[in-house]
Amino acid sequence: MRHWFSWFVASAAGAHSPRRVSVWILGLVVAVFAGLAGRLYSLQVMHHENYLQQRNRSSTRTITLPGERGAIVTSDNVALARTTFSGNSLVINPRAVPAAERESLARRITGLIGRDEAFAQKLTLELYRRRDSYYYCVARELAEDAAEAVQRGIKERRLPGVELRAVETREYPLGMFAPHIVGFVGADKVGQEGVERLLDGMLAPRPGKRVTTVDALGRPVQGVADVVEPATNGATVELTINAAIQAIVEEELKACVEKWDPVSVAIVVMETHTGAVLGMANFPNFDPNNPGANPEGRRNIAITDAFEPGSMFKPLIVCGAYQLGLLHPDSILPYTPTISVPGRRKAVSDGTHPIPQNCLVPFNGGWGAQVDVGLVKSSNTQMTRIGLLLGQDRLYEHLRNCAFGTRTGFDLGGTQFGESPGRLRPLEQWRQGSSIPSICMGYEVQVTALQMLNSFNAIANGGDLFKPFVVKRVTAADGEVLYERQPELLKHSGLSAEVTREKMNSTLKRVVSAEGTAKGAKLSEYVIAGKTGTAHKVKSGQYSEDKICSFVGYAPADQPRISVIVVVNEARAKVLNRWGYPILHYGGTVAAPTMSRITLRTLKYLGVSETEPDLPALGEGLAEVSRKPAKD
Amino acid sequence: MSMTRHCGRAVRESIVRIKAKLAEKAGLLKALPLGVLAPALLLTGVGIAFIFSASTDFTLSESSLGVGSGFHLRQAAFACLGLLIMICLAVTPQRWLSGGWPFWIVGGMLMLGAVMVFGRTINGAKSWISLGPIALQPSELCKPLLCVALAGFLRFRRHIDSLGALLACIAITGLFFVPILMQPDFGTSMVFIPMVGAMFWVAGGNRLYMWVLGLIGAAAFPSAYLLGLLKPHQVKRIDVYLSSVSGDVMDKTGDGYHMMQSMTAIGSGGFTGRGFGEGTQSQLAFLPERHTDFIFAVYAEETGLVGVALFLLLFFVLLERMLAVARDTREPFSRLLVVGIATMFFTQVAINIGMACGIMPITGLTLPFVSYGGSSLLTSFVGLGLVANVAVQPQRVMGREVF
Repeated sequence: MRHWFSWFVASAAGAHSPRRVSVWILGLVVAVFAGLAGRLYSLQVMHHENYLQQRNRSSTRTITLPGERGAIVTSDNVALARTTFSGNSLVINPRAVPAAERESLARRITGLIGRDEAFAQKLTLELYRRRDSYYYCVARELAEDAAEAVQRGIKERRLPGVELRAVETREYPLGMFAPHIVGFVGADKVGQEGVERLLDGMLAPRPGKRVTTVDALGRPVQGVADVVEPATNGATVELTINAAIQAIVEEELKACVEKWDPVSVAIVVMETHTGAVLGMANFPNFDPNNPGANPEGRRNIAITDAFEPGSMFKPLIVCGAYQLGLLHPDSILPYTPTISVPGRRKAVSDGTHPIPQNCLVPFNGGWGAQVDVGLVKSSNTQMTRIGLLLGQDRLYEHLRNCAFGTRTGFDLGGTQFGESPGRLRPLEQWRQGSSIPSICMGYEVQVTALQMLNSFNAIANGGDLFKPFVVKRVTAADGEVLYERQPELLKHSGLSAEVTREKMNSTLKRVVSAEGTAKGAKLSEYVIAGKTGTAHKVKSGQYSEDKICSFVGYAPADQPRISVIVVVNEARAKVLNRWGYPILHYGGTVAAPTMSRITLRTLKYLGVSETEPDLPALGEGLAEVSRKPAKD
Repeated sequence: MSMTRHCGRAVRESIVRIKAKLAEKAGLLKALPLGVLAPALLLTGVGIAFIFSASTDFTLSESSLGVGSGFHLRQAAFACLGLLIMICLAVTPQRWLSGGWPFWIVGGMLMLGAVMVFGRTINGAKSWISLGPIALQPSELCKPLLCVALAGFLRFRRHIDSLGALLACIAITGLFFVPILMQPDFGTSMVFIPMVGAMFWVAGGNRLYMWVLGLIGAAAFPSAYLLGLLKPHQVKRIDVYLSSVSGDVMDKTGDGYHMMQSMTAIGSGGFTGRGFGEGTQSQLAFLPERHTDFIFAVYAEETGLVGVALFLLLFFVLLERMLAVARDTREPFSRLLVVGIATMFFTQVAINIGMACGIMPITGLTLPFVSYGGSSLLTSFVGLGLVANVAVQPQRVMGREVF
């Protein structure tokens, strides 16, 4: 090096010298090598990580290992939704098939899965056409023995690039059974409705992966072990739904639909003391195995559709009056078949169903009727008087306490078709004179079937409003309990047990008796307490003759176990009674029989001991009742 | 009887004479420049080892480059042959080389002409001649041939400064350059330009002419690119090159794929490399032409920056020692020859490594001594033999500026 330096200095300013030129050339060599070294330093040290990632990306192939989506089972462990692996598909990586082997491989595969010569030719052609792709599905749903033969061929390495893949399907073994609760999954195995959607994150498996080192042609490298991360199966969801009860509900729903040809029906069975939903069915409905067939049936109308409840609403109004101490069941209110209310255009009338004369008592020179008689006979005028007695402020506060106009907080409320909060006008929107009678008759308010049942359930359990729920427990694949539902109070209705269990219960029992509006629901085995509802539907801005017939009740009346609501929207069938006259469409005629049959079968299934109904007839014993005048 | 005795004596005498001649030649070999030879042989060894690594299928069983490809054995055989040729060249009387320059030109042209007629086309270039089991690339051999011819032509030019000398120089170069460009072998023909330039410079050519020519040459490439005179695949290569320099997203097919895979291989080597035979970029066939043009990427992936530094050091020592040989000789032919050969090696190394690490457009140019290929390796050893020939000449030891 010393030589070079002295040469360089000596020749720096001189004339042409070959030696100086070689110094310059060496200088150039140094400069270029320094540049290359710098570049290599940049590649190998500064950007090493990037290139390493790039390398790993291109030299590995990650295969997702599917896990099993969790099952949805009823409380008695009947699977409503489960994942099955059906049939093997034969897939091939055409890149891994050497060109010379295409035809022989196609023939071998054809032989193994038992197809004809034309198939072999087509497969050869496809292997050629797709020679640059990584995936081609040769056959689906292989027969068991064909799959075995292929498996053996793969093991013996006679089938380059061939793989067997199981196809995962989500199955709803009972078909059209509680579809609105179970929901369904889309083609991408993501829950679209119901519990499938609500708990998609828990039901969905955590997929594993297998990372295979491959060469540039996408062929797995022999001798390099795959990195396997196994999949975790999804959690199992246990519902509060009882398969037997749900079956009863579905059957009765079907019978009701066949008999009355309604637009829609909603039925809910609830456990009185917890708010757990034991059965829930709607018409129209759908088969989750084929959800596309009937999209209109996907709505869980028991929570999505709000309607005017009509007379079903009345017991809650009366409870309010009892709770405030304004009235007693035996209190007598003056009775007239019609009553005009200041500010209301049309007089309130009992129409074709006034309280019969034998139930009336003389009162202040006219006739009067006891409060409970008014309720049993579903008298609009009596309810109007009670409403006026309460006044709009107290009435509104009471209805708010009973959770009208707010969502029940049902589990499935958050799914695609959300839970309706119903409708209760804010106080400032009440119309002077007109709103109180309307609301007392169950108009101008809207409720969902579940909401109505939940509020009515407060009468059955002594005043508690639960958050209805359907998901009981979620258990991970390894047995760990991820979630366990305890009954949860939405709020207390403010109604005392004395009001509900003593005063109201006996009245509601009378509704389901010979003199009540729901005599068709009367059972010889159990005592049902309930209330019918018949509401005219609004069509084109006016109340029409089409009705929503409903019945809500609980049983056994004295030790309630279940509350049931049946809402039949617009029964259209003309059904004749045994004397050949058409049965008029009322809550008591359309909905109540269905409810009572469900109640009977459910209570029998639950093993509830039968109780003899022992009710005094309504007219009897009136004389003994103390005649307390109503407070004015 | 006497005949036989007489004959016997003659034979004995000739044996003695040959022995003396051999002893003389062997004596010459004592002066072989070890500084040049040692790095060259080391690089050849490294080349054989990494050809083994790149062409041997350590993991795949169905690769086209199976375990039995034996490329490294062929390369080793060519290295032995090259060594023999080198020794022969080293002891060849220099006047055969310098005096015979017109014959070398004619010989080179004959070879190139034979390629045009009988040539075989590989990778789109008709530049191969099949000789039984081996295919040779005469264009490779033309590089040292041109060095010898040009050195012979330029050694005693009185008017080297004149335009005529420059034009004659260009004409001789053109005789080799044009047929090779037509094959087409763009990479090899590009090596001629710096080679001839350096020789002309050392010979004392007119610097003004050289500057003008250099500027014209420098302007020619961009204008050819911009005017669309290049072939589509050449345009593509330059596009890929420009995008890689500017850091855009590269086209990841074709040449862009080559360059990206090569850079990925080098980059993933890191500081210490992935170990011999462990470079997945090359082992798993992501890297194309991995045992020939992209052998450096294989080496860089498996040995990392440490190995790369040693590699560059070996080449630097080789070039420095060659230039030292040129510096220390006083004979114009020798000096021109060695400078030409050194420039040839330097240009190939710079372009090949530059291409592998993405700062040069992709041209099919081999790495001297290292890349797989008989023609390339023999050419490298021919160049080495010529340098050795210069180094062992006796005038070198008399070398003093002024007596």
